[in-house]
Amino acid sequence: MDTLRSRAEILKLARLLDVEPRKLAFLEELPVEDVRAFRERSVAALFDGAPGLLDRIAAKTRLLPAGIAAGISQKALGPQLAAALAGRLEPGRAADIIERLPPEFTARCCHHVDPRRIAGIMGRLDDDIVVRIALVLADRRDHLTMGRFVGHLRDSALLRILPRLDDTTLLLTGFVIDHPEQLGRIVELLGEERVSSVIASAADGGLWPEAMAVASMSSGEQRARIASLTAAQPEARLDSLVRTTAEQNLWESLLPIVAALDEDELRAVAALPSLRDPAVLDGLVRGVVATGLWAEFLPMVAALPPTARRIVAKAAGALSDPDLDALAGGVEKEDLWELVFPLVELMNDGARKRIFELPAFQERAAG
Amino acid sequence: MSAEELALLRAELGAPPPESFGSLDDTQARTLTLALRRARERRASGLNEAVEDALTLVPALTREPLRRMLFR
Repeated sequence: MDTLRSRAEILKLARLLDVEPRKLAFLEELPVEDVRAFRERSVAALFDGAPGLLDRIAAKTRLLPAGIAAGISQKALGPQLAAALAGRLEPGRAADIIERLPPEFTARCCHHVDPRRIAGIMGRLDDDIVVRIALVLADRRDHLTMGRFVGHLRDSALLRILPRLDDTTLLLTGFVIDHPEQLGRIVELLGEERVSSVIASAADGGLWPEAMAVASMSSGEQRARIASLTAAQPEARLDSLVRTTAEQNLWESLLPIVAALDEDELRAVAALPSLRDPAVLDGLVRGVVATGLWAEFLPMVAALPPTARRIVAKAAGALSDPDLDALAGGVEKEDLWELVFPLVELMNDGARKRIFELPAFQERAAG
Repeated sequence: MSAEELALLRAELGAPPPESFGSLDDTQARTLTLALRRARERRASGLNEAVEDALTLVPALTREPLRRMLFR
């Protein structure tokens, strides 16, 4: 999950600083919370240091009727200056002016608005205006700006906006949502049929990483529903999910979703052709070693067909001593030995001997 | 990251960067420092240009009164 969250954070920071995202790719190595904190400090550095000119204009604007201020904003100030000004006005006053502006103009301003002022302004705007602005942003494919705003929208506005956005827009916006705690509410408003359609579009449009990120950011119960709806997709789509995960090493994102499936669904996923590919399974084992997601992984192994289980056993048996030790430590921590023993039985003698000699296993045997 | 690069980044950010940013090398730190500086400069010059552009959008006769009213 962190890989995907890092990608989203880098997109947001790159947009803020107006640089190519690939130039900031090195930030993927840092904790995503720190990259987010850096972005928030960058927002403060850029927006709090605005020239006194803005305060002077804001002071003058307060004296004008909202309609005249809107006219001046549109005809004289332009989107960047109007947005900067909106950040200097009281939210209620900014909303009064915005309601008198054409949505096309406001949509062009949105990207330049101080992100910290969005909640205050959005809460005061009429639904009609919000819907029209959102649709213009969608037409402009400005998903990063939509991601900033969407978490602040009322249900009444979302219910009018969501049916009019295509699946790709929903995925790309959800991927960069600034307030992921609001995703649950939005997924609920979408309904199961639409979520299924979005999942199908993720498969067909090469957007599995975005879909996984959205599922991972959703709450436990909703993640389980998204996981079930995903498992109900045709085999070819699910296979493309596993292949994408393997290619981009996103097991840390997929495994918690798989772990939310019930037994029948898990068996359907475990029977996928891609999960018989030794290269995929080898990457999966290494992904689990790196992330420590043993509790999510081992139940899936138990559901794999015997051939695939033997490949996993072989991959696990070929792990280096430190990685094998990490495996044992993870299994011990989560008390998952019952799920490991069938796997150990499939290993060759050398690998089995190495497992039995591990301190964690010795302690288990002694205990 | 060297102490010198850290000081430059901190100055541009107006606050200390998160601790883990200390693991970046000097080139990476410099990338962030320059990106921040350019973003700030672009923002300032963009606002000034917006003021000038704004004035060209209104009739010539009203430009000076508007400049006095809004921008001075």
